[in-house]
Amino acid sequence: MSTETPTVEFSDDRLLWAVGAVLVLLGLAIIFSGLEFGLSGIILIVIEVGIFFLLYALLVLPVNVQFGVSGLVNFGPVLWFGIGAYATAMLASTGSYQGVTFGFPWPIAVLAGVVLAILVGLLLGVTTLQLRGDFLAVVTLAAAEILYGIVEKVGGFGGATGIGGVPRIFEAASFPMTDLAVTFVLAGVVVFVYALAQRITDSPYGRLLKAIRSDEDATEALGKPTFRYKVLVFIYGAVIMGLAGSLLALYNGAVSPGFITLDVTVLVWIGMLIGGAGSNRGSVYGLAIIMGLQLFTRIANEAFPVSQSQFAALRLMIIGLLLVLIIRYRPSGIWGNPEEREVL
Amino acid sequence: MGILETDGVTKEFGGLTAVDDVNLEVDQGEIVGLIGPNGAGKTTYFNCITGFYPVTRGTVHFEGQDVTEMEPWERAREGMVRTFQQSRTMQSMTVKDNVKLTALDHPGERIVPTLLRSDEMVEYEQDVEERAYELLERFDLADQADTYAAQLSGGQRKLLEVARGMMMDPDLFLLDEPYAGVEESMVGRIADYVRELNEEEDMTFVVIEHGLEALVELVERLVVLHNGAVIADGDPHEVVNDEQVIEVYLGSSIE
Repeated sequence: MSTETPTVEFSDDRLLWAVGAVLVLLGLAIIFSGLEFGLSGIILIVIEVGIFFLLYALLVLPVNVQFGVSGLVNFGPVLWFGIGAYATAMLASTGSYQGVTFGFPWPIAVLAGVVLAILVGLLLGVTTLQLRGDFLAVVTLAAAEILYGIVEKVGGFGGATGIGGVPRIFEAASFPMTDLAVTFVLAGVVVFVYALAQRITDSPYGRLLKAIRSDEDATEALGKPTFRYKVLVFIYGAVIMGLAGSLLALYNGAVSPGFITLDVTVLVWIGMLIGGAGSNRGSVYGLAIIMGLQLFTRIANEAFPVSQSQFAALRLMIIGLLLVLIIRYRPSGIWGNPEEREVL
Repeated sequence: MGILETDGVTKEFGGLTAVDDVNLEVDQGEIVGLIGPNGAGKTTYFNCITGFYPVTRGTVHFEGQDVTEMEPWERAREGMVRTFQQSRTMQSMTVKDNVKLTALDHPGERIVPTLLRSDEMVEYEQDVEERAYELLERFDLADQADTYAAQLSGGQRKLLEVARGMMMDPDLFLLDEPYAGVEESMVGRIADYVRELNEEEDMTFVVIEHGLEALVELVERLVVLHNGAVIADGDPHEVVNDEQVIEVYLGSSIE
């Protein structure tokens, strides 16, 4: 044989795990040390947007593994986010102004939230993953809207006010310190999930998922149970997205329909497409760009004498323009690999 | 007992009978050509054999086992591998990954070894890499190992489909129009590979082509389908001179 077989190597991700652990420990240190110092107004805004960026990063990573890597159009990440959030909130809340609550210990509530997210993932997956891709898009989108309708209108879910009285497990010495601690803990969790997503993507598992994205029938002809893998990918996503919802409830101490609107799904998708579907790093960076714009307009809004809604409109225009430019000049996204984009 | 046996395989789409009561027995080590004009039901028949279409009636036996109810991926794992009329290489994956993908029972296709990056998984991947390179060498694709399959020529894509299938060490290879969309210079090479695999590894082939003469030199036995039914089965030289077969190809009625 003339060519030498290269040695198989997987990227070394020990640093990632270490960084994640340090971040989580830093967050916990802030909580348990009772540390307190002042933070300026701008820093507080950055932290507040940052927390939602990190929560949504826990949505964009699974959505990228589902769509970017495996080709499954999940237009309902907020569905699993909402299930995790509401299940955890209702089960753990020790007394809400409105809605039914149970007052279980929070770890049980988190577990139940994740299990429920899995069950819904399984149900939607098994019933629709055998259909064509666009059906999946419609079903996931509709399911997310149904959940929104249920929690807002059906009694027991707290209506527009939502569920309060959820134990705030990240409570530190003061409100700004809590936000800072949560930022560290969530950043650590995002790094862990990113490392896991990378391990899936950059492995024989990811190769199989990409093959399903590229040509499902041909993959099946090569002895792969493609349907089973599609369902599994839906379930892995459900776990992470449900967990993200649980973390929202336990950080915020309350959940309401406003947290689970279609906007979340749109934000996650636009972030992924701008950053590059198929690239875990790209999707997170893309989300950072979009949320960076949000942050910029919030800070700039304080400096300019225009109304908040005008600024919001301006932000949408910028995002729209960015999307048009990306689709026109770099359809695989900023960090996406053009050669791995599926051309139909 | 043949390696592949179809008994009364029939496929109906509404009122249309695409495959009509096809009985075929293929013996281990044979190269069988399956020809017929466009629309004769050749690919539909392949889809029935490989499980992509459930049959309306009839049974498919592979290596003595009734596989009629099996999923396509289960049949592939049993050793029945196919290619497609329009090459179905994964265009957004490299040539090497196309071949490595096909490795069976990879620990890296289970979630726990993947997330833990178990030694077993890494070692298996190294073995797979080595086998993939051997196959790429054999099919003269090693230089393209890291190019994306989208950049291959039509003939190279057909070869890649065969190389990829070989990773599963199949017993029966079903080739759907291996010469379609292939540059002239490659046609002979593809035929050579089929002969070589047949002679050296006793691999059984069923090959579809629509041209009447295309397979005469390659195969030992030619089966002709017309309107979903077998109208001739035998020595290739005799079959192509069969009056009924010629009439079918010239388009006149056989009634």
